[in-house]
Amino acid sequence: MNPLLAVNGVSKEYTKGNHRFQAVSGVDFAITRGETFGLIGESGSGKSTLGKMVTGLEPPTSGTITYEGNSLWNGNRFNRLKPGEMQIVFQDPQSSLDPRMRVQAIITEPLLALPAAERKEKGSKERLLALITRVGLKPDHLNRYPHEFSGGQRQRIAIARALITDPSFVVLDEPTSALDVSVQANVLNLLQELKRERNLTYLFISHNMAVIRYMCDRMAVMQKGRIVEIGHVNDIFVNPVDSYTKTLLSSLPQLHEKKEDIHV
Amino acid sequence: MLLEIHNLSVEFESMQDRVKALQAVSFSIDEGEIVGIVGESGSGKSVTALSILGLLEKNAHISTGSISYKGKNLLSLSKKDWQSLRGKEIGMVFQEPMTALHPTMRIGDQLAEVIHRHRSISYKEAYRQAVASLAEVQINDPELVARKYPFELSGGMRQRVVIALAMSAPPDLLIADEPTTALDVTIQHEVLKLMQELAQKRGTSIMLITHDLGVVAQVCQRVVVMYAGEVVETGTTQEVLHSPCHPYTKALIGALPDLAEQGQPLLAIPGESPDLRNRPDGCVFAPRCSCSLPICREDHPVLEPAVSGSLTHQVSCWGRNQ
Amino acid sequence: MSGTTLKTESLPAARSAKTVNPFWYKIRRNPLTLLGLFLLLLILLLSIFAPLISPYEPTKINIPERFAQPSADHWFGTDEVGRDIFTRILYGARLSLGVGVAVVVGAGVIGTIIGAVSGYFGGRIDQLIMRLMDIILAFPALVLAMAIAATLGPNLQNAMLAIAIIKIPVYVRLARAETLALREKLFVKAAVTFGIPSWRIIVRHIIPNALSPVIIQVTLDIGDAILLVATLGFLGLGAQPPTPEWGAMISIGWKYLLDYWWYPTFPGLALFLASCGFNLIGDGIRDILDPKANRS
Repeated sequence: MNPLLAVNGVSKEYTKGNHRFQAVSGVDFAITRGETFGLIGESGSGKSTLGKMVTGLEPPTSGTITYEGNSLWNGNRFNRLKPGEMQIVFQDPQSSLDPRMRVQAIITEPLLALPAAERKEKGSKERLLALITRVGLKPDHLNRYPHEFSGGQRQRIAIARALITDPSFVVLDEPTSALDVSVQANVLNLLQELKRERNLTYLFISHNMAVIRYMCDRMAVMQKGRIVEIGHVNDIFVNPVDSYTKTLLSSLPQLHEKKEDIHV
Repeated sequence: MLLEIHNLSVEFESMQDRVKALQAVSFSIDEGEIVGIVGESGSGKSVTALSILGLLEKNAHISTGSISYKGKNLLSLSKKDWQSLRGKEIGMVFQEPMTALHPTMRIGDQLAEVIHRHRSISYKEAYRQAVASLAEVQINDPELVARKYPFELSGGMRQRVVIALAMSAPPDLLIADEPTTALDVTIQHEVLKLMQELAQKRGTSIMLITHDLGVVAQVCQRVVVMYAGEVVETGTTQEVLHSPCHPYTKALIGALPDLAEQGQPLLAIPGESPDLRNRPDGCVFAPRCSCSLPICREDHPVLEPAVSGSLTHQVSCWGRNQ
Repeated sequence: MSGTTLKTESLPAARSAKTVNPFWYKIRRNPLTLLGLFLLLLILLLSIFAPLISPYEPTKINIPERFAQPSADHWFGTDEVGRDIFTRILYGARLSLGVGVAVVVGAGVIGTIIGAVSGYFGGRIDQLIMRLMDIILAFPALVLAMAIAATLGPNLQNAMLAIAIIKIPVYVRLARAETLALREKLFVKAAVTFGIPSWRIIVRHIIPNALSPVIIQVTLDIGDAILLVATLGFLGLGAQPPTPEWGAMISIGWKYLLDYWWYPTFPGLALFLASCGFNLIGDGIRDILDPKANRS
């Protein structure tokens, strides 16, 4: 099966004066349609930089990223193959929503990049109302401003915004890291349901291993810009090969001492 | 008991309204014990810590209750006495370690000064001990780090320095508010181990405020679960995490992806946390509770033994016997 | 959930306090801002109702009554061709306020757009624009305004243009600084990932969010601009006689100061009060909106 997104030998180097910093070095992975691929690592591992390169925020220094076989970067230019095909949900819903815009304007914003006919069709009132209720908000919320919402509700707004263009591929960059545990549960459930209903493909970036294990089919463990281990989530959690993965897993505080308890 | 909080209520007053942040909170911490205070945002766990430290903001006032530390009521202390207690006997570690460090003083000097003040030794000897204490918190190349300023260190390093600071002048009570939340898991693991050592080797009691039940399971002997400014359940870590009694505690554990099977939805709590300006007459959790009884909305439950005869495991729920 | 919303009535004290608008609450606590507001309102009302308040026309010559002393007929006296000075001050207020506001708002709008574009794109365009602004700022403001006004020819339009040009760099810098911070915000990054064109991001996200410091600066600058218009008028580079402009009035009037003290004194007083009023309001608004000043 052809991969939906393929990352081949991608590196990213930042230069600040004489100082060079290799954020990502020689990373390869591929995501097939319909799967949830997890990218896990600690701060500075390069996982977020990868997310930026996939979504068009930062060009890679070398290597190629292809989507459906077409290269996403042409030098420093991002080829937006089909606007609205790929969307992103950021970590901090506090700053990812413009404080001066009403929820309706926020959610429909990605449509501005679409051709007029498609914009009209996808921005119809019925679609908007269906979407806002689907993510668990009320139609009268459309006229409010972001500061009137809790963190979990804001993340729902961000999810609705990502889905308005009917994307097939969504990058989730630490979507629940800023949320309380019970709110996180709600958002993770919603993301799972939406994936099933809309046949989405997720790239799930997180530092939280429990979340990755629960959400993802396959995962890659990143350390200092490199992928140290890649494979099916269950294989990695049960039989980690790389020493860093082992350290990560043993550092994860366990709710119950015995391991059997975890694999219910 | 080292610390005993009894019936503590705290209100915040602003121009517009009055918020009851804590409502009749009671719990205690024994010598050398690590007690976890668990709750989500708005549960009042940080307000509890600030009340003990006497660091509540001006618009907050303690309406009822007492905080007794080594038998004396902290609330009747003068500001000055409270401050000296805070420096010597009660230590603190916050989520953002920068708040605990002097921004323009080298790490080594900060540590040495505290050691110098605490033990009657020369400054030179104190500095030597300061470097040693850095090594003790797993800092590689402690001599180099000692010569650096706080801003030159990463978050994890800073938090370790703060722990070293707490360890070099061991307080009797350490209040740690989300000390590892901003850290990577591998560093969190080390910091937690250090805190455990602090409790075991030096007999420091630790009040560990966290939202992470995994952290609680790793280091705490007892847990206090807070919701909307109230204690809803308390007991040994084993009791609370393995046989939770309060529906909120159950939901909190069920909401964790740690134990969930892939594809199975996580247990979610419906609704939003309550408006602290208008507390319901009955149980605060009743509006979101999946097994609330008619009485839950009318009468406020109190902490009572979860199982008859249990001294440690207490829960504030009308449905505890169901 | 409904249980919590039902009980909003249970705290009557809290509800009555809620009706206090915090903005007005703060303004009311600051007597100087109130004074500024009062001055501005007074000048505004007087200039709007000028034809109702005064029976005279501002430019009608009446030689027999030249240099009349302040009296019940002519409150502020008359000038060298018998025009009522009070009337001319009222009509002059219209001009000063209008010109001051127009110049500063114009400079604010242009400066904000330039600053937002410069900050958003960065690179060479940014370098070029900022150096240009540095050059303008390097000159003493009044000297540059005089030079521009003199070069373009002495009239009110050119004076306005000159003042706008020297005011623009302030707004460019302000808007650029805000833009640099906003560019890193996630909602701007999000808009980039949607594939929204840059100019649209600037219009939708950058400018609306960069506006509050610009508005504060505008209120601070209006008083200054009124003063500058009068200065250019005084130097003969602004509004030309017989336009009832305060600066031009003072310019002619000061020659008669020793014999007819009222002639330059009253326009001067009007100018002083107007620029004072704007400055007090500007300071007040800054205190309210600036979080750093709030804390103390």
